[in-house]
Amino acid sequence: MRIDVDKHEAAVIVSVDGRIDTVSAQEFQDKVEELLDEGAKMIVLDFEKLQYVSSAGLRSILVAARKAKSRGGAVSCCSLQTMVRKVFDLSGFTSMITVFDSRQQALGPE
Amino acid sequence: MTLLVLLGATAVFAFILAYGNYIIHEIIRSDAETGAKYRAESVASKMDAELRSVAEIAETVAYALQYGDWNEETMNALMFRVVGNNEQLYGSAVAFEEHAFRPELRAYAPYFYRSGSGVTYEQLASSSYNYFVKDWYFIPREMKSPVWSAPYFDEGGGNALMTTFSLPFFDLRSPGETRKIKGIVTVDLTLDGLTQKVEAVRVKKTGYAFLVSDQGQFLAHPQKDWIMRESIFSLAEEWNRPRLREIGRQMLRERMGFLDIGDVLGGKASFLAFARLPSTGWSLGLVFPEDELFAEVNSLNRTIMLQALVGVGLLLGVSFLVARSIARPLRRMAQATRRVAEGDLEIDVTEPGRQDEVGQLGQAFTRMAQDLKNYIRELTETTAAKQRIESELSIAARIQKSMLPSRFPAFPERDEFDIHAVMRPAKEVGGDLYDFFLLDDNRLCMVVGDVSGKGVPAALFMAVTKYLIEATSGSEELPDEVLSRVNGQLARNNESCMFVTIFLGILNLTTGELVYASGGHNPPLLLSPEGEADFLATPGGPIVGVMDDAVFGTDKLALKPGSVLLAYSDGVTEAFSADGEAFSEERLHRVAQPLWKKPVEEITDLVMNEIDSFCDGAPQADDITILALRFDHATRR
Repeated sequence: MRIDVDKHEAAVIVSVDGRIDTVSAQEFQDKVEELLDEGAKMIVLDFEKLQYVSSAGLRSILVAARKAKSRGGAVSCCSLQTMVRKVFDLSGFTSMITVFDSRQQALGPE
Repeated sequence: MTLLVLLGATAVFAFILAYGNYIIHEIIRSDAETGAKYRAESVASKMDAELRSVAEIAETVAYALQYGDWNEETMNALMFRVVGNNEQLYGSAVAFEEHAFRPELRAYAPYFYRSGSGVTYEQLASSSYNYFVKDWYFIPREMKSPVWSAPYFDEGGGNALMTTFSLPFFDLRSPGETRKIKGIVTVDLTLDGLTQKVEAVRVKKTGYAFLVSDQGQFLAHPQKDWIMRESIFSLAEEWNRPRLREIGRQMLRERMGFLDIGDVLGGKASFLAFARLPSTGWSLGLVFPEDELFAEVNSLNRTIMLQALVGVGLLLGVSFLVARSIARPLRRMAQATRRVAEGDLEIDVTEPGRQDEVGQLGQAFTRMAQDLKNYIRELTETTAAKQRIESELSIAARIQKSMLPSRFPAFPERDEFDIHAVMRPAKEVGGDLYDFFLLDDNRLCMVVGDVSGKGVPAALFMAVTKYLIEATSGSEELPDEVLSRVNGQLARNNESCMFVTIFLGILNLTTGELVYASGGHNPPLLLSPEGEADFLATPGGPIVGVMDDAVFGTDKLALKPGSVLLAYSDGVTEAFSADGEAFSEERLHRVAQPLWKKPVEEITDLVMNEIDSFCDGAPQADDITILALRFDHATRR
C-alpha cells in the first residue's frame, strides 16, 4: 500500500494505492491521524487506486472519520472502484461517510 | 606470534646491515683504489722526472756535439763541467765511433766521473777495454735510439747501484735516411737517491713501496737482500706462486693498476697499487695491507654491528613484552570463548587499567557475555510467556468453540429441517460467528456474523454479539427489531469502532416462511430444488455497532421444500489465491449450485474444500464461516 498526501486549500487529499487490509490498516490509520494532529480539518480519501478494503480497513476509516468529527472536521471518500463500492454499499458505509464520484467534486468549487 | 615478530624484525635488520655494509665496503674500496693508484702514479712520476732530467743532460751534450767542432780540450772542458755541475750524475762519457773523433784515432772515449777528490778523467779506449762491444755502446748504436741500461752494481763506483743512459749522436753531414752515428753519449746515475726516496714512502702503517726494473728485478724494497738479487719472477719460482708471476707481468705490462694480491708477496693480505716509470719502463709498487686500507670501514662496521645488536636486543625485548601483553589476554579470551560455547556465560575478561585495544576487546567481550545472558533470560521468559499465551489461546479457542453450536446433527428429533455449520478462524480464535436455536417449538433462529478484524479482540466482540442476539431474539418478534436492539447496545461505548455484520433469519417450521434481516452482511445463496441458485435480495441495513440510529429492514420468503439456504461470511468470497485472485460470489455460485441435493454437512465440506484448493499455498486471510440450512417440509401433525 502506498499513500500520497496532497495539501489543498479546501482539504488534504490522501490517495491510497493498493489494499487496506489487516496488514496495512494500522499504517493507514496512523497516517490519517497524523494529518489530523497536524491540523487538517477536511480530509478526502482518494480511492481511485484502491483495489480492496477489508473489514479491518473499514474500521480504520471509521476511526479516522470519528476523530475528524470530534475536531469539527470531516472525512470523505471519492473515486471508488467497483469492488470497494460494493463493500461500501453492502456495509452501509455511504450513510456514515460522504462519498463523492471524483476528486473535483470532493474539493468543491475552488 | 611473538616469534614471528622477532624473526621478521631480525631478518629486516640483518638485510639492512648486510646491504649497508656491502655498499660502504664498495665505496671505501673504490676510494682506496683510486687513492692508491694516484699515489703510486704520483711517486712514479716524480722519479721518472728525475730520470728524465738526467736524460736531458745527455741530450744537451749530444746536441752540442752534433754542432760545431770539438777538440780534446773543448770536449774535456765540456764533460768536466757537465759532471761537476750535475750532482745526480756519477759520471758521463762520450764514446766515438771508429775514427770519428780524429781519423788517426780508432777509438776515443773520454770519461769523467765523481770521486772523493772531485771529478776525475779516464780514457775508456784502451787495449784492455773494447767499448765497441759493450752493451752501453753496442745496443744504442744498433738501435740508433737512446737506451737506459739495466741497473748494475759498479765496482769502480764504490759498489753503488747505478744505471746508465746512452744516447747516440749523429754526423749531421751524412744524408737523412741513413744517418751515420758519430758516437754515444752516456750518463751514469746512482740510484741511491731514488731508492732512498722509494724507501721513504710511507704507506699506511705497515705498508711499503718497492721498485722493480723492466725485468722485474727489485731495485728498491724493504727486504734489502732482495735488491738486485731477486726479481718478482724468481720469487714466484722459489715460492711456487704462479699468481706472483702474473702480478709481475701485469706490473710490467700496464701503465697503472690496483690489485688484490693477498699474501702472495709475503706478509699480511694486501693490495698493490703500481705505476710505470715511462722512461725506463720500471714499475713502482705500493703495498697496502688490507686491514689497514679498510681500517675505516672495519671500525664503521663494528660500530654499526654494535648498534644493530643493541637495536635488535631492544626490539626483541619490546616485541616480546608487547606480544606477551597481547597474547596473554587473547589466550584468556580464547578460553572464555570456549566456556561461552559450552554455555557458561559467567565470564569476565576485562583487563583492569588497560584502555588500549586489548582492554576494549576485553570489555566488549565481557559485555557481550553479559548481554547474551540477559537475552537468554528474556527469551526464556518470553518463551514461557508465549507458551502461557498459546496455552491460554488454545483454551480460548476451546471456549469459543464451545460457544458455537457444534453438535451435529443439531436437532435430530426435528425432521422439518437439517442444519450444519462450520467456522474456521484465521488465527486461534476468530471473529466470525454462527448460531442457531429454536426460539420456540415452531421457530428456528439462525445467525451468521462477522466481526471486523480477527483474533482475540474480534472473538470477544463476537461473544458479546452472540449473547445479545440470543437474548434479544427471545423478546422481539421481527429480525430487524433484533438487529436494532443489538446495534443500540453495541454502538454504546464503542470507542474502537469495531462492528459486526449479521444475517439473521427466523424460519417458521409450520409454514416454511423465512423472515430475515441483514446488517451489512453478504446475502446468502438460496439453492432451489430445481437446481437453481440465487443470492437473496437483502432488505438492507448498515454494519451493526457503529451508528446507534441505524435502520434495518425485514424481508419475507416462502421456502419450497428441499430448498437450501447457504449463508457464509466474507472469508469465503474474499479468500485470496496465491496470485491475489478472490474466490468471489461468482465462483461460490458456480460451486454451490449443483449441491442442493447433497446432505447439509457435505455441502459445507465441499464448499470448504473448493476454497482450500483455490487458495492452495496462500495463508488464510480471514475467518471462514459456512452454514447450510435445508427446509425439508413443514411440520407434520
